[in-house]
Amino acid sequence: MDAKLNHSDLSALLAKDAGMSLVKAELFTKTFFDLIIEGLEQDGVVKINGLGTFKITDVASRSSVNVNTGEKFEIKGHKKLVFTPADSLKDCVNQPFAMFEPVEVDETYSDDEEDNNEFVAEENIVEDVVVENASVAEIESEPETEEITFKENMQAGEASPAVEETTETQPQQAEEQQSQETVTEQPVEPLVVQERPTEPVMVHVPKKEKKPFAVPEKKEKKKRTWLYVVFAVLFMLATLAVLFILHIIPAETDDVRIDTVTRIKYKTDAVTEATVDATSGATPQDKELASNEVSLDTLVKEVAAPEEYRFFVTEELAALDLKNITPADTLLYEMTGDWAEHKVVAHETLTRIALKYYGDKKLWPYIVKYNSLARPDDLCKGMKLIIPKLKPRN
Amino acid sequence: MNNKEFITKLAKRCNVTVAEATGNVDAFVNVMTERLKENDQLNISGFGVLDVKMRKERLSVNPKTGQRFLVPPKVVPSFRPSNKLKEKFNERG
Repeated sequence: MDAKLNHSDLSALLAKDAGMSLVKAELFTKTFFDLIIEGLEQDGVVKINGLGTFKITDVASRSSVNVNTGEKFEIKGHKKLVFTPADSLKDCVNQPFAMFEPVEVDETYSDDEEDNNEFVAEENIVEDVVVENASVAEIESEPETEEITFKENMQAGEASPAVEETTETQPQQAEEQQSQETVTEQPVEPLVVQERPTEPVMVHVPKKEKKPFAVPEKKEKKKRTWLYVVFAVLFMLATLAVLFILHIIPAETDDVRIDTVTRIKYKTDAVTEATVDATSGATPQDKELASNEVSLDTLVKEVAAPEEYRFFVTEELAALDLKNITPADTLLYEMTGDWAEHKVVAHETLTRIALKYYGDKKLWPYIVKYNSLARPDDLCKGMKLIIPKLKPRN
Repeated sequence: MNNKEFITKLAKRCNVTVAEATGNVDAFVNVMTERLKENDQLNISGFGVLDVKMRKERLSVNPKTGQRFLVPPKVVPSFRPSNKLKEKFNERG
């Protein structure tokens, strides 16, 4: 195991193996290497079966640069001793890795990693990493196992020949076990594998394996950005809808609501007024104008209690069937002086004001006319309007 | 110099028969192979160092077809000649 053996160690081993005397073995090994050198000097090539070929090759001259000064200089051509190991030696040395064949990697994975979208949520990354590991596990497991065996060999050394023998004599079993181990290890500690760039075997694989999976990741990201955009648009629409409902529709629905409420109130008022009239001994409401003038004023004064909101209604209006009123009805009245002063509040419309004072929203043109408003559409908050008293035309 | 010539010369130098020399060479080569297999380093003074090196796995591309292969890691034997030997041949060149 990583031991450094010198000439005499080798001789001792040879003596033990071949049953030679130590002196003889030493002489033999010395002659062996001397003869190789001699042969190289002679022919330039020495071939030994089972070990390999020693050969002297020419190295062509080449230009290089002095790292310190930056000057160019020429490395002159020279001769070099190279050793080409025999196949048997190669195979023997490479035995722990012998079961591996080059594996074809899917070429659809290109390395355009640069234009990755920055728009990635943390979760996405985690998911991708997990997926990556799961799929890469198969590829990675093999080198991993080998690393383990290799290390075992390196560390256990001669101290644990039993372990080695088992791995050698039963390579299949050992391999299976190790692969199982690694398979179980992978999903639990996927990051451990990737965090080992300094280890001898695992250096480049994780990095390179990452590239292939970058592309699907990117696609997912693109999809996600679209989703986000769609969600944003939907959210905007939803908020707009809510704003619309909160600010515009209530104004109108309120009108309707007030309308219906006031109609009811209006009718009840009419009834109460009628009873009041009856009890006070005044003539009942009808089309007789002379008595109405007086009773109306008194009624208005009676009913105009400021704290409790009441609708001031003339008996003429009360007498009319509201459901049958048409826009033409608005021409049926004439204005007979000030009745009340109204201060416009926010979100108030002329129809509402008309509804408030007359109980009929169709009568708003009288207010416009009486106040001579140039732009009836444009009521301002805090504007003061004088509400005219209305008297039916004959 | 091929294997046969080498063994013949070796037998002559060691004063043994060719058959004996062949057996010895085989035995010696086996010893060295076994040691290298154990990732040992063989330092032979005046000659050089025989040891093994780890080759990492790598991705290689077939330039013709564009296929990408994951080449598995491997252990390869290597030899570094001693400085003495290097200089010897360099001078001659």
